[in-house]
Amino acid sequence: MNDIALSTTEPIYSALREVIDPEIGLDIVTLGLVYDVEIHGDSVDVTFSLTTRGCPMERVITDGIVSAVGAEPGVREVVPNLVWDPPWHPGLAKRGSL
Amino acid sequence: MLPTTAGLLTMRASRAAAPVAGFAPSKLVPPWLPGQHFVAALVFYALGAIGLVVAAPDLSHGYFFLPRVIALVHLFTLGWIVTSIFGALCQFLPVAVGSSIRFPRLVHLSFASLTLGVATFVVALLASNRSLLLFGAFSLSLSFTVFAVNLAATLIPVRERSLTWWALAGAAVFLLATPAYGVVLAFDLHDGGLADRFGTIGQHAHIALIGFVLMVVVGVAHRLLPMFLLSHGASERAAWAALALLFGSAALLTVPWGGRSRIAVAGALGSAGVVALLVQVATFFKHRQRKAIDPGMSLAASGVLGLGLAVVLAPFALSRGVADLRLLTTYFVVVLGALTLFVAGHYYKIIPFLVWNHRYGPLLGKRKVPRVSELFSERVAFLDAALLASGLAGLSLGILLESEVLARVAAIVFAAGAWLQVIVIARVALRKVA
Repeated sequence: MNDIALSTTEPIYSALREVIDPEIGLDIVTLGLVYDVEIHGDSVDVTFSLTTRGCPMERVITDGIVSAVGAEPGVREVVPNLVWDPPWHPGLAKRGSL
Repeated sequence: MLPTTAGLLTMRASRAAAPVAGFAPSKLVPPWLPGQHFVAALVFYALGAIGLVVAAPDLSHGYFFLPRVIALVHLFTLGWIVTSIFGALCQFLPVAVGSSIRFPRLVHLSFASLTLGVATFVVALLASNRSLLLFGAFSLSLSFTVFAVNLAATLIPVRERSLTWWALAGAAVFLLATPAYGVVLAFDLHDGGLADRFGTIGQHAHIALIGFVLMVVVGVAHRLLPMFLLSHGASERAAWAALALLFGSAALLTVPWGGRSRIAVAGALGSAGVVALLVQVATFFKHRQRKAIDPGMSLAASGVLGLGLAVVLAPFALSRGVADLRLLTTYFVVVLGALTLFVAGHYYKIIPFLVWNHRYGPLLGKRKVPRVSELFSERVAFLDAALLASGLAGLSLGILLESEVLARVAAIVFAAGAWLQVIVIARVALRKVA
């Protein structure tokens, strides 16, 4: 366990960049799939979406988020929160990344 | 620190963990359910490619009704295309309609009877064995019926009825109608009692093609192409038109009354349906955000273009019928070739994804993992696509020109592509995590 206090979301976003959409080949932050990150003490809420409703990667990406963020110092709990509203569209990806 | 190792990190049940729009992650199909279909289909594909080299001279003369040519046709239609579709649907249904196949155990029955049916049907045609032929026809009919019922049982409880839902529902209906004509033809092959054997063969082939295969293509393309191409938000009106037109065409072909005018109207509706499908696919490609087109999508696009060529040939080939056997044979080679390319393209998408999901999915977020496209060489896959497409184009030309040499050389080129694809896919499937 690690008791370093979380003070900024930057390390969380950095960890989330390790989670890729394997079909597109880009990480979920660059793709604009991560809508929000909230830190509540040692708990991190990650609100994210997927490129397509019913995407077969749902479980893998959700587990990947938990693994990547959970490995960050000071994180004891990860709450992945998959939402479909607003729906993702390619315009949310970082310009020129696709 | 992960929950599985230390128990200190916890993951609360999130809102996302609940089923979304009927999508139940816990009911995702095990990989071997579609996997067994893909293995069998690839074996039939490889055998069919060899058979094509052997039968190429027959095809170049338009000897379409030779039992060995009919055996080859069924190796491709049933062994390669239908077996692939059955497997792909097992994998695709949770994505497409938010529900896994209703009875997974029945999938084993439909798979066993399909592969047994294909094997016995093909051997029976080659050996002119009537009993075996009828057994094969029965086994295939059983497979189609069981799969259609399983598919219908999967679709009925789904509340959100999208275009893909309607396309697959239509496909289930015509999956039942296809073997009815097939069994009649199997009886007739030796008895010869049918007054219009050519017409019955044409109806059987086109009910299967339009009512089942193309309906699935419309449904699959509508769901998968925007996902692969990132063409979200593109208009879907052409897909709805394609669905309605193809359904109308197959329905008219299925009813046993109405004479030649019914066939003509069905043909016009079917052709219009394929054109609408072409428009829809072109719309998806035009609106794509991923500018680079991978080998899988290249093959799929080539297949759809081939269907467009078939629409151009259809009025001439089908109106002249047995009076111009080479044109008729060319038409069927173009149709089956187009579908082969479409299916082959999806193998470069589905199999690497399945393997990635199984082998690398659990490692995501823990270590660097490859992309799906990195599981095989894109250069080799593009070479494969070129071999398949040029082989089929050459074969069609060889038949039109009645050139045995061109037909055989082209068949060898196609076979090289088919075997190359089987090797690439096998290497992907057997790949171990580095």
